[in-house]
Amino acid sequence: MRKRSRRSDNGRIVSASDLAQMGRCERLVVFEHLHGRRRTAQQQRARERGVVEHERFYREGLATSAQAIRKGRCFIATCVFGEAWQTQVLRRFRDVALRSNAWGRRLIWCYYRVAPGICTCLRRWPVLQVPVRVVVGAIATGVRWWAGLRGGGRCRR
Amino acid sequence: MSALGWSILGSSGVACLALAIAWRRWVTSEAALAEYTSRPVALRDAELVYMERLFRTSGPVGVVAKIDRAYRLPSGLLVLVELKTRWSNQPCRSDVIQLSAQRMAVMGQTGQSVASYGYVLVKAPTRPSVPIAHRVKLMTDEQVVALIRKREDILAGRILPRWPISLNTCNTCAFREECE
Repeated sequence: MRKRSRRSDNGRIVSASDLAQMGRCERLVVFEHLHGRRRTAQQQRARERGVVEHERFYREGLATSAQAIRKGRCFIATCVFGEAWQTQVLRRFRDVALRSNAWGRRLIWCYYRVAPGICTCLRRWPVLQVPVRVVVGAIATGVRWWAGLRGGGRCRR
Repeated sequence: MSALGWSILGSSGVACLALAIAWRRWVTSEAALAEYTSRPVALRDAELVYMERLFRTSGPVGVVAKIDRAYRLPSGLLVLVELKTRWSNQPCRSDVIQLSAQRMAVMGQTGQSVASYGYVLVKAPTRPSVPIAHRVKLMTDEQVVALIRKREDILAGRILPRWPISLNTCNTCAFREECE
């Protein structure tokens, strides 16, 4: 039987699931290290059930992410800049600075109500995109140097 | 084919397309609803940021971990969630160790703050039920490193491995004969 590939005794990386075996049985860790992983028929069936549940769990998460992406765009910046650094900075500002307090969340809610209409106008009259690009670009530049966003801001240790 | 035939064929095609789109939207919204209902209450406002993603760190010791899900709270803090399929509706020590190692790997790779607690979602294997969330306190990085060192010592034969606390672990073990 194949020996385990991830070991830490010779300086290699140990996986979280291998380490978790220490919480089940330390002798099992030794046996698996010497003889490779071995499962009873019952454990094999349980594992297959677990794989199926994990796939379902993943699909549910994907559906939520798809909805969040549709709702979570920074509309105007995406409309005038596309996926540029300005858009990323403003998105980060929204997540770090605005989402952390009630007034910020209200502001985001209002913005999401108004912004799609503004984007429609910007697409219909592209000449309006020039001043909007200047204003939003200036805001993004200011926000970029704001202390809260430099190095991850207050949410980081 | 007559005009009536073409119009029936066309309208059937449009109806099938509409049904397919409606079905797809329904499946997506049902899956999203299932995800939302399976969340712990404390994570209802959180954003799902990572799924089935591999993280690794080479800090004091090398750790690689694949997380099931990570949510970002409005404060920016990440919270790890691990799904387990088992009959006993309670978190185990191995779940805590796994989440703690995942926390160390995520912090090491991304530099983001990860909560000192996590959630173990326990789901019964055959029932189509909602998983039950258990909040667990995670080990510190120092404790994880100590555990890795201990594992190294056990594998190198410097420390004798301990028997499990529960006899049930032995009853279901594939190495029972060799061990006894």
